[in-house]
Amino acid sequence: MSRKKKTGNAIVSGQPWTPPSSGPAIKASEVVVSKPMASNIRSTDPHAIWQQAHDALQAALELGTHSLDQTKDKQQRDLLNTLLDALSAELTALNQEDMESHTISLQAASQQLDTGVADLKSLRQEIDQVSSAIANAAKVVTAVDEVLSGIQAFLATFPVL
Amino acid sequence: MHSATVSQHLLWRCGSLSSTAALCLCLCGCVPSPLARRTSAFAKAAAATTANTEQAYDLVENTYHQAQLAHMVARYDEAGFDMAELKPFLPEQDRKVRVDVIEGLQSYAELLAGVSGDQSLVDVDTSAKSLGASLQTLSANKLIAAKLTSTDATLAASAIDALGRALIERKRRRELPIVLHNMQQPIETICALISQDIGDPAHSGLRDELHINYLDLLREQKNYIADNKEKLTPFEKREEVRVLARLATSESKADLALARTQKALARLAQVHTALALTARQKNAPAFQLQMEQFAASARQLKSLYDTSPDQK
Repeated sequence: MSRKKKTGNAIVSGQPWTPPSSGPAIKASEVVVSKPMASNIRSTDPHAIWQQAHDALQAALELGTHSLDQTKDKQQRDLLNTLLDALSAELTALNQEDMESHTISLQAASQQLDTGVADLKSLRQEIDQVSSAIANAAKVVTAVDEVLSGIQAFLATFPVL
Repeated sequence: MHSATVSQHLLWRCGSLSSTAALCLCLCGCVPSPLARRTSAFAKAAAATTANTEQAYDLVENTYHQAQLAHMVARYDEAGFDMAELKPFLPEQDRKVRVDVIEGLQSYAELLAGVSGDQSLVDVDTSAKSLGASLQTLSANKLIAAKLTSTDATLAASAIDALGRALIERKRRRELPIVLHNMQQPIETICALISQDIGDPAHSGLRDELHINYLDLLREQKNYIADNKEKLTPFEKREEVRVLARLATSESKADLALARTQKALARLAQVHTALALTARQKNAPAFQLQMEQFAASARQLKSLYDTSPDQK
């Protein structure tokens, strides 16, 4: 991976970040967070490029956060906070991009899942029909008994001739 | 008189045939098959796992929201406070797809539990008893010449019950292996994709985003302490420093919940595959071991999300 140094940039491709207390003073106007370093990476796999960019930015965020703890000067702290805000936002954007890239595959898998759910619903209905059939038979027998009892009661009202 | 004797003879034949049928069917239909038992156990653990999976996304949305709020509060003097600037981490349409997938997984697990569980057999038992009681009541009616004794009615009910159970077991034995086989690949794919979503705290996904959000929350809190250290009383300073400790503990617990969710999902896919592969086997000791580990994961996961951390 080729490493290019841009003078005055707070984030330098491939170079470790130097905390302000031990390096030259950096002006706010010189703070630029460069885009993910796709042009500096030889790998052609998009995900590998994404991951390298992400890892570099995360390493910068961790280092910057650690340096903030040791920085006492208010002005330098403010500058560092601005930088860390930008790094954090960039990393969140990369994470969002990564998760959105899974959405289509999840949608396709969800449709296959729906087929299995439909098959199980159909099997469940067939199983429920077994106990329903027996329950209906019991109702029919009860209904027949009620009808016969009704007939019996009706016949009992007539005197024996 | 003669017709009554014939009716009684017919009833006796009916009773003895019923008892023979009941005995045979009982031997093959009364006991749930090994597949039904294994599927039922898997389905319960899977339902518990999927119920908690959606909470993994909620956990990170909540910390992202908290981090944005902390940032807005800290920058109030420069940028004011505009609630419209608060955005969800995942856009609505992407979140909806994930919710649909997780709910689909839950439905699948619940339907599997329903199809392979004992409730349908209990329903058959209840219906058969009711039929036996109805037959006995009908037989006692004076207009019916043929009489059933209570033993005959019980035997008839048992035969019908055994027949019903055998029918249900036959359907399960035939259809469940096919469904499990067809669902092997989709379940593996879904579990792998959600696991990818959850990611790694150093490299990608929800766990990484959680870590970034907590870095921001801790940084804002440290900034507050540093900017106000001259004005805070010792007691106030200690309380603010305690917030740092609470945030660190919260991050640790939240990351553990996400990591365990990943593990549980990997186990869900593994156990489902094992279930599909052993569908026609009577004994499956390897499956049993995997199932025990999966059930333990599901229980641990539930207790982790039930005690999810509070944030300042």
